[in-house]
This record gives sequence, structure tokens and C-alpha cells, in this order.
Amino acid sequence: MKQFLSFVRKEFIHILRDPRSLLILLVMPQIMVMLPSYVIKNEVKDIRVAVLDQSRDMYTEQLTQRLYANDYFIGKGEVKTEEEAAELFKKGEIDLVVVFGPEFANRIMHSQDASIQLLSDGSEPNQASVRVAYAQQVVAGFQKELAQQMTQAGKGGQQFNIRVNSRMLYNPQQRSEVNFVPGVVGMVILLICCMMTSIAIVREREMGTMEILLASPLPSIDIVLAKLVPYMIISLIDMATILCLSYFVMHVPMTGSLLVYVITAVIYIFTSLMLGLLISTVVNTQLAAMLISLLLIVPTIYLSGMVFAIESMPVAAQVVSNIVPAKWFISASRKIMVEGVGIEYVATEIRALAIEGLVFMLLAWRFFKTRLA
Amino acid sequence: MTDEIVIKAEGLTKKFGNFTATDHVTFEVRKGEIFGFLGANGAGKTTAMRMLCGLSQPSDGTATVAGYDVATEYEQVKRHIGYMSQKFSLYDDLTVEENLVLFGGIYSMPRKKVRDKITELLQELGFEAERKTMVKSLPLGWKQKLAFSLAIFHEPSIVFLDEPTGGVDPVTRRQFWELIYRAADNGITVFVTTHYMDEAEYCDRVSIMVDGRIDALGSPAQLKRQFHGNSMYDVFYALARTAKRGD
Repeated sequence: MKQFLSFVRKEFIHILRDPRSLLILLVMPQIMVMLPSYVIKNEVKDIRVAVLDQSRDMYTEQLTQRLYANDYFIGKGEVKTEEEAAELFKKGEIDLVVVFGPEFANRIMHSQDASIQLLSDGSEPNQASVRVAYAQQVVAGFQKELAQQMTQAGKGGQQFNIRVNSRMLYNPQQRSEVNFVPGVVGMVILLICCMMTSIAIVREREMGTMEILLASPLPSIDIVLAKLVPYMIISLIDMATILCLSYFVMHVPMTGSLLVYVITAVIYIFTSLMLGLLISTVVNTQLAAMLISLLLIVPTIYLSGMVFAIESMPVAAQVVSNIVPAKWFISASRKIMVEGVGIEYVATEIRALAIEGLVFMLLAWRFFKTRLA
Repeated sequence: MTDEIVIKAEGLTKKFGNFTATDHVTFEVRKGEIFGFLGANGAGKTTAMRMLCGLSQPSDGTATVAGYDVATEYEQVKRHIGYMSQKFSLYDDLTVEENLVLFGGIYSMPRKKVRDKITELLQELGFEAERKTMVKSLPLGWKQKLAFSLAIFHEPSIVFLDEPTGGVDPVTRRQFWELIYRAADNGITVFVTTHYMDEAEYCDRVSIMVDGRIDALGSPAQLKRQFHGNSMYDVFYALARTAKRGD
């Protein structure tokens, strides 16, 4: 055990002393998950807004006009019911619905509890919150002006208090952070466990230090395990930070059990590590290890369901997608995070990942032995 | 030097498919001896050495190292040997001290002993100032001395050196051999492969491999008499000319 720990320690020193590795391992993953939503966030304009007006009075009319006249908004007319609004969200025709409560004008003048509800497309939580904020500004401006009008009319001192609350409607048809986060986690784990691990192992062989280690009493299984441990730990750290970022900053829900998610992720990490190990046994240079790992990234992006929906692929591609480990992980994480299902509903995914991991492990072990003989 | 045999190879053979890399070699090495293992590139030196270190299984024949069978008791063999490969083999991004601590850990040495030995060793080498220096910023000659010290850090009974002095100047090579002598004086058996004929002269006994077989074995003086040469270079050249294998 002491032997093993001194080796793990050395492995961490390698990583901590190499700024490039550190960047790839502990900065890039977080950027990968934040960047897309940041880019999207800056695009918030031309908000397509519809109105659900339950009171149809002077003030709702005025407010609607103001909204439509605002540069950030495009008026999309009226809807009669919330169902109709949901339908338009699904079709992707509107971004925001302003719902005026009943007796709006009456309440605004007398009981001060006039309410407005803002319905937004929750599949893009970041943009949704910005859109809601813009709409709230318009409402606030309206209130202020109304107060001024009253003062001029000699009825000063009256405060208006329109309660604005917002609600997000989930739209499964659109690309979104909700769909994006599981993909990024899948990709990051693959990069770290597969590419960084295989490079780290092959580096020992390229530098000639592997020979020294093999000639030492350190069992070869320990050498391999000690190389894997740091990357496993770093993957878990990345997974945790990405989940925190997505939950607290990007408001991606974790509907299901966190434990089930972590179990699935650990199995996926195992599968990816074994794939990295397998790569390290068939190549001789760090460059080759990197190229093979990068080659794996391409099918992972296209066939894992990260970018393109698997259900709409040709049958051949669907069949091939089954051997892409990330497909199973992404599918399972979406089920857990979005649909909130229990472990029994992701059993297929977990089983597929475990089987692939075991196959990679056996192959890696075989090649490793052959190399030594 | 005593008469105790620490390495004994009998008909040691390694085949890769149809190719016989090492062809029934037989020899003995005594405790505290500096045993030179010579041969042209591709003569089978490294293959033979890898078998003796427990890194590779013999196809035929037997060998014992420090009393343990290399085919079956290789874990024990590894515990009792040190090994320095032709590729320079320390961790560049670790300091001198960290490299030594790491190997102390790998060989399960007690922590206090590791600490004491490091101080002692750095003093001996005159490296005290470099304790916290990254290995990559040391000159090659220093790295090689350090790699050798690392190979014998855990006090093995035998150390295997695979072309340890490649690429360094004659002065540094001479200094390196002084380290080897010191180790041999301390009772460590040294098994060394080399390309340099002046180094062959430094060995107690030398074996010369040609096409996987050992064609000559004896002290440098004996071999020069046997092959009517003035130097080990003449002896080596006379034998290497008969080789059929290319590189």
C-alpha cells in the first residue's frame, strides 16, 4: 500500500507541475460547459412575446403597447389560454407570454394587488431569465409613469405595486442547457480518462521509466492502477464542479436522485479509463495516443446524442451509436436529470457501460501481457 | 570478490516466432564481479538482460539471479536487483530528492532510512545543492550518475546496467565508472552492457555475444591472448566480423 501511495503521489506531482495538463484537466471542462450558454446569453434580443389578457382594460392595453414598442420585443399577438401558449412554445414560435390577471385596472387603482405572470421557455433557462428581466423592466417603467401621471393629475402620493412572477415552461423539442450539460460531462470524462490517461501511461514508456518500474517489485497491476487513480479523482472533481455550475448558475434541474447520477458517472468513468488503458497498450508514442483519442471524439460528438438526436438518425448510425460509451452515459444522465427516473429505468445504460468497460479491460490486460512476454 | 555465484544462466534462450534473439547462452557471474556484456546491435544482449531481470520469460533454458529462478520467482528477482535502462530513466519533472523518495517508496524502504540515505548519497556525489533541483535542469552526466545511484539506492545484490554511458564525454564516463567500482567494492555485483571498448577493459570479465550466442568469455587479458589482439577493440572486431545478422 505504501508503494502504491508513493506512486499515486508522484502521478499527482506530474499533473500539478504541468500547466498544460492542469488547464485541460481543471479549467477547460468548466469553460466547455459555461461557454455555450454565455454565447447564447449575449444574443438575447428580438424576444417574441404574446399576451394572455384576462381583463382587457385600459391599463393592460397600454402595457401591451409599451411592450410591443420596445426594441427588445416583437409582438406576436394574443393567446386565449395557457394551453395555446404552451403549444406555441413547443412549436418554438414564441419566447415569452405575459399573462394579465383578472380585473387588472380595478386592482391597480384600488387594492394594489394587480398581478402579471411571465411564462418563459424553460428549455433555455439562461435566456429565459434575461427575457423575464427585460419584461420586468418594462413593467417597472410603466408603473413609474403611471405614478407620475397621477401626481400631475393632482392625485399624488399613490404607490403602484404590480406583482410580477415568472414561471418557466419546459420545452423538450429544443436544444438547451438541459440537454447540453449531460453531453459536456460525457465529453469531459472521455477526454480526461481516455486521452490524458493513455498519454500519461505512454509517456512512461516513451521516457523509458516504464522499464524501470517493471523491473521493480511494484506489481504491474499496481503501476496501472496508480496511473488511473489521479485521473479518476480529477474526473470526479470536474463532474462535481460542472454539476454545481449547471445547477446554481445555469439552473439546470437535477430532478432525479444525485446518488443514481453519481453511480452512473462512476461506471462511465471506469469504462473510459479502461478505454484509455486499452489505447495505451496498442500505441508507442504520446502523439499516437493523442491522435487515437481525438479520433474517438468525433463519433462521440456525432453519435452520442450530444448534438444530434439518435432517434432521427439512419438505422445504421443508430446501431453504431450503441458502441459509443458516451451515448449510454448521456442517455442515462438526461433521464436522471430531466425526467427524474429511478435507477431501474437506467439499468440498460448502466449494464451497457459496465459490459463495455469489462471488455476494454480484458483486451487491455491481454495486450499488456503480450507486450511483456 | 568471492566464489559465490549470483547469476547463473544455462541454455537461456528467447525466441520471437522464428527468430532466436538469444540462443542457448550459458554463463556464471560471481558476487562482487563487474561483468561486461558486449555485442553488436541486435546481438541479443538486451533480450538476455531483460530475461535476467524478470522482465521477459525465457523460451528455453534456465537462469537464476540472486538464487531465484527468473521464470518462476521473478517477483523475488526484482526485489534483489537494480536496473538502469539505456534510455535515461528518471522523472524529469520531479526534483532529485523526489525521485529518490519515490524509489525508496517503491522498494518499501523505511522512511527514516530513505532520508538518511539521501543525505549520505547527495554528499557522496557532491549534489547537496541540487537536492531540490528539477532533474530536467541537470546536465546529462549528472543525470546518469543519479540514475545509477537510484538503481542501487535500495541496496540490491546485483545491478543491471544497459548501456549506461551512452552519449556522455570520456571524462564523465570515467567518473561514472568510479561509481561502478565503488559499488562493486561494496559487494554489489555489476552486470553491464556497453558499446565502448575502453569500458570493456574496466570489467573483471567480459562476454561477447554474436548472433544470439556467447562466442567469447573471459577476463580482458585472457581474451586478448586468445584472439591475438592488442586491445578489446581487436577482439571485438575479430568476433563481430563473423556475425551474419545485420542491425
